[in-house]
Amino acid sequence: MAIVPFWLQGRTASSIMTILLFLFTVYLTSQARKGKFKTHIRELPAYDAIEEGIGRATEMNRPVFWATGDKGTLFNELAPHVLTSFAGLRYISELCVKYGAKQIVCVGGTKGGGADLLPYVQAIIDEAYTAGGKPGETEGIVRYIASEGSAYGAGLQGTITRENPAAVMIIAPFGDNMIPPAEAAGRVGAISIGGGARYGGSMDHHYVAFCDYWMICDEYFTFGALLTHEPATEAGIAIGDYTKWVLIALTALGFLFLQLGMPFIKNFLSMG
Amino acid sequence: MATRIHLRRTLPLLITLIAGVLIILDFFVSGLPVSSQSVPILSKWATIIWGFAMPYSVLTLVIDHLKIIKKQTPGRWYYSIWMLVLIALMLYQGFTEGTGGDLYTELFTYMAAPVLSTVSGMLGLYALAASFRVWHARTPEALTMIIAGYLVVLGIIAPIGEIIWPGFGPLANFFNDYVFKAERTVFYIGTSVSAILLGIRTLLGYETYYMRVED
Repeated sequence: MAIVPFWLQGRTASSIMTILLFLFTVYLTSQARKGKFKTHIRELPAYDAIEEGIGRATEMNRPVFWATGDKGTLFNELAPHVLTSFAGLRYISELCVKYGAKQIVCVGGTKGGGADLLPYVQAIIDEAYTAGGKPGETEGIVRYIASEGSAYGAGLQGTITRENPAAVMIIAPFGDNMIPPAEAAGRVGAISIGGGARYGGSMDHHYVAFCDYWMICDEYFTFGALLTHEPATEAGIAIGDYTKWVLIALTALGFLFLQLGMPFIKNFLSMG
Repeated sequence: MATRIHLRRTLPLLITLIAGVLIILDFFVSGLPVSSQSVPILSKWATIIWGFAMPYSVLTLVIDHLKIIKKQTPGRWYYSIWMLVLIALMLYQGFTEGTGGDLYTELFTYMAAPVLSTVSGMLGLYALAASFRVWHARTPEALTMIIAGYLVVLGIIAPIGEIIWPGFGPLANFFNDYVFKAERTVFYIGTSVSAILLGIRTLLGYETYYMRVED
């Protein structure tokens, strides 16, 4: 098979940008670890509401509900979204162990039936409970609901209605099927916290309409940095912001030069 | 003990890095022997892992429902029996005739499909109810959202808008084609950049909160 490099495949612009992002990430992270780069991430009300919701659940002796998204798997383009939601699950589980709140974690609905996520979710719960000094108290927490999306949504709605949780957290890559659990959360009087960042923001407005607190678009990816407050992770968020400024500048300059009859920026970005 | 923890931390990160770099390499430089031969193998491994996980999921589901039946949970246990019967029936059909069998097709067409369509139909009503709940102009930003929302409702969704004023249609189309498209593009770029960077940080082992192993 002949070797075909990126410039002959029409992937020049994306290749250069990926390489630059790799190098920039390595450089800024090393600077942050040495203490030479510091950044600040603004407070997210949804993040603060998680602990508040778990505290409320403990006081009311009602469970805390969490569900995997019906779209993300570890084998598709939404894998980063799934990893972020796992970070959230880990944090929520640790808080549930700390406060002694009952937890319900539902899995299912994704391409492949959500089956690929179940062992990871079980492992996260096991580790959180073992670390919190409560090994063996995880029975009945993780529930597999259904492999089909609509059945999963209906199953989540049924579970919330029956179990009457005080806090419902749907911080995961969801499609339309985030609506039934979010609606059920409102009906049982639970605090609902939603979060997602599907490409194109196709579902993000639903989180705003249905949930009491939400983290959408790139707010969703700051979750890990807010949880750890590690300089390296925070630097990663700053790199994202710098990249967006560069893209805004490229767009503005590209438009300007195009009007002046010099389409070199457009040509570079159109190289695939 | 320290070696075990070190292995549990390092080994998954190493596997992630190697697999990720191979797939990226294959995307940008096709035909390289190291990546072009290993990427199909990695894809097969993903399918094998899923093949192991799926029976585990079904088993979890069956065990949960057997517990409900054993406890005779009020209002639920008979539904659990019905679900186990359906699982057994679908499995039997799947193993004997495959997914093209008559009974399998009929079960799906006449039992599963109507139920799933009902759930999908309910989503629209829920979305409508939620939209009315957030229809309050508490802040100037919310007011702009509501004005834009009204324009779309009157210009595109509700036919009465065109009767009140014919300009509603073109105005709503302008908002839909330019203003909302710009907003969606901003979301698209923001989300994509953040997801790419999270992928890079995961490959480089900087993002490990989800797999933290206690000392």
